[in-house]
Amino acid sequence: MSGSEDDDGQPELSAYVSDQESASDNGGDEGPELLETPTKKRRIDNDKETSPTKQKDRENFPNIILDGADGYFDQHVTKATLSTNSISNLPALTSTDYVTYVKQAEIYHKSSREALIKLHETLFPQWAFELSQGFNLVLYGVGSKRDLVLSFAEDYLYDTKVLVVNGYNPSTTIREVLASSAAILLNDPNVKIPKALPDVLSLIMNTQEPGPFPCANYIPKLVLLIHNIDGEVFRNDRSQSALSRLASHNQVSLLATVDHINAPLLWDSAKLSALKFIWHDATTFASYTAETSFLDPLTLSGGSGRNLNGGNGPGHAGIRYVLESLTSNARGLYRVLISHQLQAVEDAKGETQDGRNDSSRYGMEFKTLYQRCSEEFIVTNELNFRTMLTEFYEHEMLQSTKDLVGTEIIYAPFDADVLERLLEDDILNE
Amino acid sequence: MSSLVFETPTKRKAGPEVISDHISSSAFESTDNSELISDRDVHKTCYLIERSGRATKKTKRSHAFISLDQSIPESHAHVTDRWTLYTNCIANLQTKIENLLNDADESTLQRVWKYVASTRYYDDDAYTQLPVGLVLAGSNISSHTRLFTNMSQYIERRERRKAATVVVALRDTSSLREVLRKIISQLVGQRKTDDEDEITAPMNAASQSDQSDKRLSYDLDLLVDWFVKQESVERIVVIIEDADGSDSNLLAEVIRMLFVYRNRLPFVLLLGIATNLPIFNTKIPKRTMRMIDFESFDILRTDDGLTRLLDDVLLCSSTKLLLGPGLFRSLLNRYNNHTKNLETFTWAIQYAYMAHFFANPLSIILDSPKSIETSKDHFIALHTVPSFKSYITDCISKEDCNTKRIRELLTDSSSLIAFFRSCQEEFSEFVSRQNDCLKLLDVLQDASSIYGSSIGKRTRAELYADAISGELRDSLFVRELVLFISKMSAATVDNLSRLIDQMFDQNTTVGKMKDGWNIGAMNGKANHLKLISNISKSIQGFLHTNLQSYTDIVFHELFVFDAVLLCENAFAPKYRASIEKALMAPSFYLGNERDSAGLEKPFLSLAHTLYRESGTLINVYDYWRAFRQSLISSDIETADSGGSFSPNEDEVSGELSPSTLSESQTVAVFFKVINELKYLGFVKETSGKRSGNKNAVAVLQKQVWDGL
Repeated sequence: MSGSEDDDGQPELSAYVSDQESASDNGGDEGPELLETPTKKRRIDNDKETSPTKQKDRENFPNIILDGADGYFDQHVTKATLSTNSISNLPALTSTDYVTYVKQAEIYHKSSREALIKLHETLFPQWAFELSQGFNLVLYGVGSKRDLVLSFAEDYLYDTKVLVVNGYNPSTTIREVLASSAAILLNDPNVKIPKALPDVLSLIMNTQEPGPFPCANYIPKLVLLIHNIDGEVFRNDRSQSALSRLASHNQVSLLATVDHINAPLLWDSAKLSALKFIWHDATTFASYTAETSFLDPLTLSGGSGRNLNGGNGPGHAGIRYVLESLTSNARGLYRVLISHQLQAVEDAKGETQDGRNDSSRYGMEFKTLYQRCSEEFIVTNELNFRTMLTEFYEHEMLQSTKDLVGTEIIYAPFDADVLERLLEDDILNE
Repeated sequence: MSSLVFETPTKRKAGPEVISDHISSSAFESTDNSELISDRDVHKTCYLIERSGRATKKTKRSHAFISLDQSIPESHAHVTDRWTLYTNCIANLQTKIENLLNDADESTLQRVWKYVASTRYYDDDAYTQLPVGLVLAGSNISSHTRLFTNMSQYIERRERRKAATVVVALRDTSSLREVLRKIISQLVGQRKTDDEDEITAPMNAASQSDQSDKRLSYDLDLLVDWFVKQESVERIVVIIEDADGSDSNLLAEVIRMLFVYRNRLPFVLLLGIATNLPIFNTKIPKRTMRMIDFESFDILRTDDGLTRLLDDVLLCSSTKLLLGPGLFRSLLNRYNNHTKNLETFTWAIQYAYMAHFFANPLSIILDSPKSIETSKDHFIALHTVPSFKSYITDCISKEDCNTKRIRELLTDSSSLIAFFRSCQEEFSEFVSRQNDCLKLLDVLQDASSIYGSSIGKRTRAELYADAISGELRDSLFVRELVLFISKMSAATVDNLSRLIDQMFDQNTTVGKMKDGWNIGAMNGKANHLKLISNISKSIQGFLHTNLQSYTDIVFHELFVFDAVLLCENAFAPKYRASIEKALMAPSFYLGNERDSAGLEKPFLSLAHTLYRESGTLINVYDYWRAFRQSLISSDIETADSGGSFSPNEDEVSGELSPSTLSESQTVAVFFKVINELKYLGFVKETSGKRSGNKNAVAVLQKQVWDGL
């Protein structure tokens, strides 16, 4: 939600709304209160609202075109002034609480979800049949399909080898998948599996057993079960073409799931014809616990400190963790830097903003930092100093830039709030 | 089982979550609660499923069919019979399809082969340029692999042992070395396995000497050595599948290398081109152009394939199952507008067979197995087939109804079977007559001036759906054709007769009909008029009687498969629409019942509703406020309808209705939901740079508009 409903952001493109004074009703309020209106009203009017025209009369909410191309242009034309509510206003949440609460929330709709799964389970024989006829399956729909697919594999794919690939895991590699498949298909520990992808592929493809493929009782040597074939690691042409080649192997069946809304864009017609997919809607509404476990749910939280420069720097907890593992001297170095940076922020207050708001402005010259550190007996020589810096660079806790004159500036890429909290932390002050 | 062998150790990225986990466990003793996931497999990258005694628990099934007890109590024998029937049908079908697909480009293959065979011998003086065949394979890259594999096999088959072929795809290789290595290893390796008796000994010797001479694996000299030893090989055909698909420098380098060796190795290069010649021309440097002597082959991918598909697969005499008009139309549509790929078309046909035999218990009757003759249930089910019902109703409503026969059909199983068999015969007759009609229409169009041009002509595939649904019988199209016949000139009559002779046998119905016209027996204008009126009458009559609808056949439900949605969902699903539907109207999936706690929609779908209503950029804090508010308001609405509720978590006391969730609870849920939206690709975190202030403003950017 953004401030697009603000009074000056009155859109000119809203097709359904003719009375332009409408916004003034809402305009008096500020920020979030305003934002709640559409949904709240919508909910209250839920039973009555039927047609857009009626909606127009009842609701003075300009942003009515929500979907499709119209919605896209409407929302882009009415460039919203983004509200400046800081995320640090959110109630703080520890990760233990998070886990507890999320677990609790699982009970909602539990019975309906279970019924849905039961429904999908009745299709298992059909899926098995389709797989046995040389087609490959791909399951789509909202909700994690991991458990569903696994239980299918458990019940119906017991007579072949099933290689499960967790495509959502960012450390999965296509090489690993190919190597494991090759090992299974060759079934010969003496063969050394080559390193280069094309070589592995051609090795695998050579294991195809000739023979009339149209045999109805086809049992593949290997079933590839790929959770999230659209996972980030497989989102490149190389992986997908390798996977499609693998799937076209006449001893390999593929059972994959997709979640990303644009997943079908992954495959061109050549890949699709190699993949020979049959699609099944397997909406489960199960939460993506496994799939999102590689994202940090709490990075959004301002309390843990997002990297202001849009990078994927560590959050507050991450910084603490890194600091904990370092020597006290290295911590000292960091303390020197961020206290300087905070001071600079203080000094800069009241000055007019020049548009550049990144923390690099408040950084410290390389030489100055070195001097200060050696003054405090944190470092003894420059080599030592640089080693410490490297550690921080690698954790994205430090960045360096060159200023106009060309001197190297070092800064911690976090905003003042985070730095303050860090400084208050006793870790840095031991 | 040796499942743990390939398992890679859990490589959890040292991401932030791990870190925070660590902290929490250092602060509190980690309880069961602190882990969302208990399953350790979750964080593995890939692993084999371990099977310990699983197979013993379940009896191994001999086939994939299940008993369809819900509709008809089927015995085990029934299922097996159905399965056997299916396997026979599908094997038959797949052989036909396979032949069809492999022969699809026969004519081009022949031309390419002739070109290869005609290339000058390499130690000719004139052999100054590298012979190159440019195969314009069209933009449908999905069929290329098959085409070029076929091509290589075709050439090898035709040339017997005189040509060695190798297919390379440039997209799989990144450097000249790799291409050369591939060519060499494939050629040398291929022959080794081919004729092991003759070559093995010298090859082994060669490979041993290779080790000593230390030449690199991409040295074409290796190939020269190999070639010298081959007595039969006269040409080495290198086929590059995607000549214009990748780095053009690489292609130029390959051409140059082959050119350099042209006097030692008899190369013929075949390049697959997906674009057209002018575009390809711009990609190749002029210097390279001068090295080659080329001829181009255009693969016209017309609808011939579809026509042959109709002839050979759908409307052939052994057809047991016909594609219904609706299904065929939808497939044809997809073929014309999207895939242009015969193979995907054939999948749908296969799928139709699969679905029919898998899910329709009555399909068993298409064969004549012993097991159903005693099964009462099958007869009862046969009685309920709509077309049979309406047949009986029709019979009764007739004045002179044969009550005895109707009673027989309804009570006596053997007469019902006999009746069914007669229907089945009617059906196969129907199929062959449809085929005749379509062919005749084809001929008539060819002969006529209006439809003769390729633009106006309606192919058999286009006419098929209309024909079998009977819509063609009195259509404008047919009337126009008949009108044309009645105005034919003598030359056109001859032309028509020639075309009919080409298309039809003497003994077929149409052939006999044509014989009846006595073309050429009579001369003179009056006679000509008589002739053409005769012809037009007979053709009109023929078309009128034969272009009937398949629905006229009793039990057509068992012969014609027309589940459009089923096939569309299986091959071209409405992917986005179903995700959007799940989010916007979760009740479609979850049922209309409100959750016992009074929550109308799942959290994810709640957040999605707000998402739709927001602008392009979303402030996370505001988003949360709105999210929380909508939770509360949804609860107010349902305050009285919410029932009692017992939470299973011990710590949770009292009702867990959405409005009683504490702020931090909603934050937790909110974060989870945002993460899921991010995962689904709906939102992206953007840099806070635009917001221009020092506060941590987390901003999400909208990525997806529903229906866009």
